[in-house]
Amino acid sequence: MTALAQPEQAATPIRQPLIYRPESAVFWLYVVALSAGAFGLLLGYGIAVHETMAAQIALGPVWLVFIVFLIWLMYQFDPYRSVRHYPQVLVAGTALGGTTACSSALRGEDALGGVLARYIDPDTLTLWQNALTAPFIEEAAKGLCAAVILVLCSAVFNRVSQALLVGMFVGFGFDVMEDLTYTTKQALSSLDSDLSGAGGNLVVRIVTSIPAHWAYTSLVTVGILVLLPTFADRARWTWRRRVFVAAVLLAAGPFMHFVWDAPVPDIPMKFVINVVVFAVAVFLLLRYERHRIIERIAAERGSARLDGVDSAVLDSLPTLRTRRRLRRQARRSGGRAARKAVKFQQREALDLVQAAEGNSA
Amino acid sequence: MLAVPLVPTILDATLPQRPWDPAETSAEQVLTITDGGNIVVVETPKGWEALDQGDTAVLRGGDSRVLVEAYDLGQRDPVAVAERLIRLHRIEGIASALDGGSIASSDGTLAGQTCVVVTQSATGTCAFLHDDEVIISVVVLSHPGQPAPPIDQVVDLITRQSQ
Repeated sequence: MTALAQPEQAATPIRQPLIYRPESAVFWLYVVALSAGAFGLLLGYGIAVHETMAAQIALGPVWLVFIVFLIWLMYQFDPYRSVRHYPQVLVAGTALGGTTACSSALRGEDALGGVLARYIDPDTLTLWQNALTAPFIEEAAKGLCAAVILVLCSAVFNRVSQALLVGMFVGFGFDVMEDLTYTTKQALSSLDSDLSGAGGNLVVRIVTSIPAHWAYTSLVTVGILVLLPTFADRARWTWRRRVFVAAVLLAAGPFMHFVWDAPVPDIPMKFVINVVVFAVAVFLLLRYERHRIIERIAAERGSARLDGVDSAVLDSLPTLRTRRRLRRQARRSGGRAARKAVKFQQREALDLVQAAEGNSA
Repeated sequence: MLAVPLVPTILDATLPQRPWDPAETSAEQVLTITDGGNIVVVETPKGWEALDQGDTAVLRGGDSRVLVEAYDLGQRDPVAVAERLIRLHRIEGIASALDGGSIASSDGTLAGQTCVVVTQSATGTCAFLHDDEVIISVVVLSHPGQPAPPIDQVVDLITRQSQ
């Protein structure tokens, strides 16, 4: 197998700043939204969080494991490494989701709950309030934050798989901060102790985190991307296709959220419905990305950029299974070191193929 | 982005408020039901109005307001629960402190401690009543110069109902 890529040929990510772009109005929108969101959260929940901080610190290891697990899980939905070189974009999305989206959604939901209380019987509203407010207010808040990130970073974040991950991280930031507010409320309102109130609620939130905000918002964000002029495949998609796909995905996120928050059906059925909706949507979206990668490989095969890349490595890229198969072959013929080398080559090749697209776009 | 919090907030601020239920007779009642299904009955005095909020009942008459919240007591210590509820109220802007007094409803089913309460614009009295199953927070607020009804009169409006 040919050794891959001299360092100067390797796929280098775009080094220009993606977030800090003071020449762009969108950057300043981001700054203002982030500041206002952080200030709003501090104003609304600062005292309560401070009051229960000891319980949250005691739960610190649980929080840490939960956060690390969700980040690992979300990265599993990027098999083509389309966002690996730009973690700053995902951090920016997480920050916006955790401040602006969370703050504006909590405020909007309270107000919408007050509006609904005028027309719906109190006992009925107690059952239905979350389902009638959260899917619309929260998905709108998170989706708009994801749209800001997609527009701000449109130079490199313009593909379906990238929007999927941006949406996941915006939803993840929202989820963590919403969990913080919920556990704080439960800590305060627990008749036993802060720790039992916060801990019990955190466990429930962790158990019900798959699928949750990160999943809802990922679908909504892809729906937003295909409507944006920055969408990489805009020229190849008819407007009917773009509108149809956007409509389905923009409805799928709130639908999953509604199913989860509604008083019916029971929890196992909610879980089944949401997993099925999410799995089908992600399967179709990643299948589309796979076809895209196959096209890119075909277009770039033999080009100077992929000159040093082994053909077998290129052939193995489309699916995780074919990549594993090649690595197994390498291990059988050359041991663990050969397997590791192939893994490295596959990653480099994936980055090269996608960098080629980025530079030609 | 501004529309997400602002549109519901503006609607909430501008739409006509939910009507309160006026008590035509002294027999109007509001049921507050805890998560565990325990029922607390709050009688609305004649001429007052009531708002049923599920596990909370709010009464108003003149400048006075009465807030009644019911919780399942379980095996908990009522004094410790009262202290936690005092803290929760403080975070919500209603500061209170036990004043060392005790109180019981006229039928003897509910008993507990009295307290004094102050908010940014109102003062009043409060109590934490309990039996073996529920603990009830009663807060009576009024504006300066408009004395609120005595806490024992308010407590007599509250009774337990078997499930």
